[in-house]
Amino acid sequence: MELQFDNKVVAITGAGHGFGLVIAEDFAARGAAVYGTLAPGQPAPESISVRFSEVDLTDREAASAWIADIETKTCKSIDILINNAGGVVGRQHEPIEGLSFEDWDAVVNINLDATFTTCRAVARGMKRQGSGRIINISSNAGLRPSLTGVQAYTTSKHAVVGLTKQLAFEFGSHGVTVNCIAPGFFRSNPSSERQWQGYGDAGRAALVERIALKRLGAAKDISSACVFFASELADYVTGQVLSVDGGR
Amino acid sequence: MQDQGKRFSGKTVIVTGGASGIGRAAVLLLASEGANVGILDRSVTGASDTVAEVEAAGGKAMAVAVDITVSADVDAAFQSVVNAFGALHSMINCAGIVGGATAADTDDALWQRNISINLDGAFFCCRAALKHLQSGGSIVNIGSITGIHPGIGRAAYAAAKAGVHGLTRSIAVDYAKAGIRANSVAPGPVFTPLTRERFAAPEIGAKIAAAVPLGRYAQPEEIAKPAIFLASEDANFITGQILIADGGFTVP
Repeated sequence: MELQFDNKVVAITGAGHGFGLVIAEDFAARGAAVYGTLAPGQPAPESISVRFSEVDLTDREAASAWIADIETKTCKSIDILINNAGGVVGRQHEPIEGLSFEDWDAVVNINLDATFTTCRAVARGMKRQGSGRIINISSNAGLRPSLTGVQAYTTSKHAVVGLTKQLAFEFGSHGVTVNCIAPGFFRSNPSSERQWQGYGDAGRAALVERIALKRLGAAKDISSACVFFASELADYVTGQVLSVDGGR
Repeated sequence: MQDQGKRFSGKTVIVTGGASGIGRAAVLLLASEGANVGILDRSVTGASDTVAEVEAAGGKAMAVAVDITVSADVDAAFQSVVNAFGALHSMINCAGIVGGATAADTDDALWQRNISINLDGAFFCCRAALKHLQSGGSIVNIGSITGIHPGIGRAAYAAAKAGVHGLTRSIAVDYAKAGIRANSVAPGPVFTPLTRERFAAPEIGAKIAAAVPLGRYAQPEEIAKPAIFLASEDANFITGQILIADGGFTVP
């Protein structure tokens, strides 16, 4: 069963490092035309196959324009949208009484609003085309409290799950599926690497001990789940949250 | 992901209920990906037909007739597949029955038949598989959305399938340290020999289409494919999950 994506257009946010880059390269290797966003000022990684654009995804106009631009360039609708950008954007746990409104907004804007904006932007094309796949990368923190203690992160990742279910319902009759992946802790990018280093030896051992498989996952595990949802293997799967976390 | 052409190349996979429906679809897909498939089914002819189809396509499969409600026979059937094909890589547990009634209308025989085939049978097969599986191995049980969300007039079936999901998660936790994963696929409405008659009635077919966001019931392949994904190395970091494949039926 060859899972190829020839002639398919993939739009993926946060493709500059971590999961995003691995997922983007995976789809490109399978024949897709892959368009990925970089955060403003983020250097483009070496990739001969992914078309990068610097996009401030918290700017709704800019995020919408990025999708419209891909549709214009390719003369077709987006086939697969992967909302991968997100995170705690440098924030750490702060007791809620002292949490600034700006810090709350910054985290919600990238995890939730950016996801909403790109989903909105691809909707018309996917519905017209009568097919499409949306894959949102939520988090274990979309199902329960976050290890980071960042309230806005947990809240916005939960909201992504809600948006996924609502859109699965809205898009179903148009032949578009919408699903969500909930990764556990991965050492996938500079931010999660800092988090990992910050735990110390005992904290790291405790974290691995809480995972049923007693090991950390690799970015490829997330990429494989994305390919699954984007492929014919998941034709009858929509509105679901798949935890890729080694069991817990 | 692995080279998609031959993800299961040379690997022994046992599929229970492989003579028809979801199981048969799983057998054909696995064989096309290079697996040596052991088909356990009570239907000797159905299983032999599936084997013939696999062999005609150049694949490798064997049929073992077994009543999965008899644990000693299940153990023997697993052993005979391992004897013929070598170490077990994974098991996809599809054998089961549908049907039922409300709780008060479920007589002892109906209850016991459902629990015996859908839950006892699933357990016997899992236990037999665990005697053979090694690190990297995996179990996929076919559960049901009826084991999660209430289905009308399905008391015994719902109880059995909820039991299958609980069993799956329990195995996931107990065997993760040994490197063995366990997951379930919970299908929604699927067009199989078990449901064909019911779904063929136009009013039922239309009702399903209206209730499912994707607007249709599933073909057996559409359930077998997620099951094979979960059994494969592509799902190496996924365990203890109940993956619903129901076209969005239970989302709203």
